Parts: sequence; C-alpha cells; structure tokens
Amino acid sequence: MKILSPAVSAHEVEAVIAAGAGEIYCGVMPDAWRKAYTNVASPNRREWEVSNMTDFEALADAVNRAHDKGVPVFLTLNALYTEAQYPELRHFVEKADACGVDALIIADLGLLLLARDMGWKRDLHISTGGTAFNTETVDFYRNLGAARVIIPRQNRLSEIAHIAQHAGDTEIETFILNRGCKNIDGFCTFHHGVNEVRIPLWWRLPKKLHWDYYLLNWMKRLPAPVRDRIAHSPIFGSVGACFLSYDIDVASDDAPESKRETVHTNLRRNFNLFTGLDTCGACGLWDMLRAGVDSLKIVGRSNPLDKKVKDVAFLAACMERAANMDDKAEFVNFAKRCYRKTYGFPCDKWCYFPEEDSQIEWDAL
Amino acid sequence: MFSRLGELQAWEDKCDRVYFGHEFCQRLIPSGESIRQAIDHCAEKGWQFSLITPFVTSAGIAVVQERIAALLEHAPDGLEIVVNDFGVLNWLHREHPSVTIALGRLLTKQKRGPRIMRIADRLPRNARAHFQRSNIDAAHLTAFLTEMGVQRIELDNILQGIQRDSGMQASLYYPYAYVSTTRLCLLMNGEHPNKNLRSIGTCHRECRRYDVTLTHADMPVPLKLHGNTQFFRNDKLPKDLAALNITRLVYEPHLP
Repeated sequence: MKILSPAVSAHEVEAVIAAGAGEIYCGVMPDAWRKAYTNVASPNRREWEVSNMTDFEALADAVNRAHDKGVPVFLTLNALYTEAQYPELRHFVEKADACGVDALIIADLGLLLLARDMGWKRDLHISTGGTAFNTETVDFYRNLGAARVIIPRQNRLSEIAHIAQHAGDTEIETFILNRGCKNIDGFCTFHHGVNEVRIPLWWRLPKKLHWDYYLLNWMKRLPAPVRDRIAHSPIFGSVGACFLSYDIDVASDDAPESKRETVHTNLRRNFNLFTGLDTCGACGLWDMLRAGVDSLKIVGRSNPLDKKVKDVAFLAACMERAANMDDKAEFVNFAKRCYRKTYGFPCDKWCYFPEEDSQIEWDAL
Repeated sequence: MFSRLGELQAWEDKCDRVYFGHEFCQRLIPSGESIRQAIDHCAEKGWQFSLITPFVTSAGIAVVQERIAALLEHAPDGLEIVVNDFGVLNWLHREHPSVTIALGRLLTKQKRGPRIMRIADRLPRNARAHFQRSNIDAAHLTAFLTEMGVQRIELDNILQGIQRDSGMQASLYYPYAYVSTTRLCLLMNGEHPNKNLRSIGTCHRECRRYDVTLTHADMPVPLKLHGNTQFFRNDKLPKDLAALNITRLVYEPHLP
C-alpha cells in the first residue's frame, strides 16, 4: 500500500517523497485553457492557480525528479469535457506522454475512450468522479483498460474491502486525508471558483499565499459559538461551492415544531466553510492494509508544502504501525495519538470511515 | 415520474409513459410488488413503463438485478430501464442485451449548479457554450453508448440553457433539476444526528417528512433539499425542443 501525495512543483515532489510518499499526482491548467474556459471549467476540477502547474515543462521537471527516486507521477484530468475541448485534450494526452507521466487520472468516459484510441501505453486510473460504488462498475472500467479505480469517498470500509477483494488485478485506491466533501464528487455539479471570476483580486492573492488555509486552521481552534458566528457571517458564508451558509427553512406536515427546530439546527452545522475540513481515515488503515487496498490518496493540491509534508509523514508513521500491530484497537489508539501530536488538535467528527457505520448491516440495506 | 406507488395511483392527468423508481437512493428502490402494481396500473391506463434505478453499492446492485430480472419475466411492451450506475449498465449489456436503456441524469454530465448565472455575463464565448453542453454528446462517446445498448439520454433543464447539435435523442426533466447528491443523507442527519458528521446512519425516511428550502444571496434560485439530494426548480422550457433532439419531457409532479 502506497501513499499518494499531491504536489504542484518539482520542489514539492522532492519534499513529499522524502517524507514517505510512494506516488505523486499533479494537475496542469495552462493559461490558454483558463482564458478560453475560465478557472470554473478547470481541466482537473481544481480551479485555483495554486492547485495547478501552468505548463507542461513544470510537469516534466516534476516527473523527472520523481522518477530519479523511483516514484511514479499521475496527471489529473478528471473534469468532464464537451466536444469542443477534445482537440485540446488530445494535446494534453500527447504532452503527458512526452513528459513521461505514469498514469492519467480520468473521470469522463469520453476521455478514457480517447486515450485508449490514441494508443496511450501507460496506466489509466479512474478518478473518484467515475463513481465506482460497486464491483460491477470496477469491472466496467477494467474492460475499458483501467489499471486502477479510485473508490468514492462515501464508500464505507466494509464496502471498500469487498471491492478490493473482488477487483482482481485492478488496483484500488481510497481517500485518506483532508477535505471530506459531503457530496459525491462524480454526481456533484456545484461550481467551484465562481468567486475567483467575480472578484479575482480578492481571491487570487490570498489563495496564492495560502492565507485561506492558515486562517481556517486558526479559526477552527476558536470556541464553537465564535466559529459558528464567523462561518455564517456575510464574507465567510459565501466561501465555497456546496456549503454556503444558507438560510434554512424547514417545513413539514406532520413533524412538531421541536423536531423541525432540531432539523434546522443540525442542517445549519452541515452548511458552512468548516464542513469536512480536516477529514481523516487513518483509523481505517489497519483494515485497508489487510483488505488489499493499493493506494491511499491525500487530498489538498492547494495546501501549503508544510501541510503536505506533515500529512505524508503522519500516514507513513501510521502505515508502519498498522503493518506491525496485530491488535486493531491498539492501532486505532496509536493513530489518534499520532494525529494529535502531528497537527496539534484532536481528530474531529469528520471521520472518513466512521465507526458507527461499521455497526450497520449493509447487506440488509 | 413517481417514486411512490400511491402518488402514481393518484395521478389523473394525461401522459404517455411513467417513470417509476428512484435515482438517488438505493434505500428507496421500490419493492418487487410495488413495481408489479405500478406496471398493472400503467397497463390499465395505457401508459408505457420505465423503471428508474439509482446509483448503487455492491449490496444495492444485487437488489437492482433481482428487481430487473423479475420484471423481465413478464416485461410489459415498451419497457425501458433508466440507468444511473455504470455497473448496472455493464450488467444489463452483458446479461440482458436486448433491454431498452436510457442513460440517467446522474451519468449525463451537465454543469447544473445555479451559481453559474452569477457569472454568466463574464464568461468568454467558449466557456458559455461549454456550460450549456453535456459531455455525453461527444460523438465518440455517443457511439460507444449506442454499442452498450443505450438508446436515450436524460437531461436536466439547466438555468443557463441547453445547446446540442448532435447526440442521441434525449429526455428533459422538469420542473426539478438536481444539483448534487450524497450518501451522507443531510435530512437523516438533521433529525437523528450522528455522532460523526460523515456517517451514513440509519434511515427513518426523513425525506418523506420534511420540505427544506435553502436560500442564500449568492445562489440565484432557492435550492430544495429533499433527503440526500439538492434540486432547483426551472419551469421555463427551451423554445425549440425538436432542434435539441429532445423527444420526451419528464414531468416531476413531486420532488423525486
């Protein structure tokens, strides 16, 4: 099982490999693409400059540095594309090939078919946007030439284990750290990056300097009521795509007022910029290792390098223990202690693989 | 389109075909008996029948397979399966290649998010055209889907308008377009909050009890949260449906 880390430069590639990353993924958004389609239609679902390289020379440099250390690099091309974009996509695939990229990460069936028809010789990975919730879907993509399938981040541990055990020689990758969006990536059509188009200066510079990350990291340590007020303020309440701080109206023909209030309160905590911020699935490592999961994906191409390095080091420490501990409960305790020591706060209520779901008999639906 | 038998049986207006089932939640797949009753009701009224199926886990796909297999034993004329999971499509193509398949709106990608309207006047021409189109209309993808037995695609009535100049015949859903969906059901977590905010939890059919509206100054239209899915309403249909090769309108009298 390998740790798959994001990186946006050759320098970052070297740093995360030194921390223990066994695989790297990157995105490229050339200026010409941005000019034609805007950041909202990013070629790889991450809209910020800080999440992407801007040319293929930078990618080639990153690939060379990674290959020097024997580490593969994957290019994320996991947006959904319309017919007019295909000439440019062809160019992307050719450039990726010339750079020596080891795999393309793809969500759109059209691009998968294109890469296959172009004679792409290296691997094809199905993005979480491919919505492979079951073994039949993995089979569908395998038949189309996929070497790896990334399981949606809403599948539970038992479901991931089931898929991994029935995947044959298809590699299985799961999410493990950071932004655990509540929506299903491949079925979500909210637009990211609208604010950058509306008020570019206000957004681009802070993003470039990672102020958003540091600010959120500081704010999450505030007392909950203060944090809640900030999250629902006019400025911070407009941040993000799918978790605007909405005014929520709850109506019901038969539920009493008290129940409606409960629903209102609990929905409110699901719609704000802290939603799923620091999601972690490290406690599931022990099971994933034994289930035959091949790769663990760290989310966060836009995170600052110190965060990326910290994430990889944390997971490397957990993986080493997971491999050597016979007792799962003992490992879980270690993972929680290690999380607190690494990040300076305890893991929150945003677990990728919540224990309470493991109590549910999924086969019974 | 109906997800509940009672709503279908109460429908008095005209239609040519009924969609019955659920697209967004495998817990709401109708029972075999409900499907049988729905088919009988449609036959009585002279309506054709489409079974609409959701995205599914490995446990869920077994249920879908069982329902479809039972349905095919006494398939009504004009039967169609609306598929929202590539695993279901894979299985149908392999096991039941003669079944008529429509590719559901979860698999026909449109940029449905209403916030695009906040920047519509700032978008370059290429971008505007991109946001009005679906990936599924790429010619080579249409050819592949045809090979897989797909005969129709399902589209939403998006606010920025639809552009199509090729592709297979399409259905258009109205008045509700979906924006996003989840397995971490927001309404379930609303009434019976889980300890962990990413739990799937135990369903108590909260979606049947509440009508939730989400409004925000940055969101051009209100969103309706129905169970695990968010929708917006758009009653304004495109002017020339034939030019868009839209040959069917799918009316949703209730939120799905």
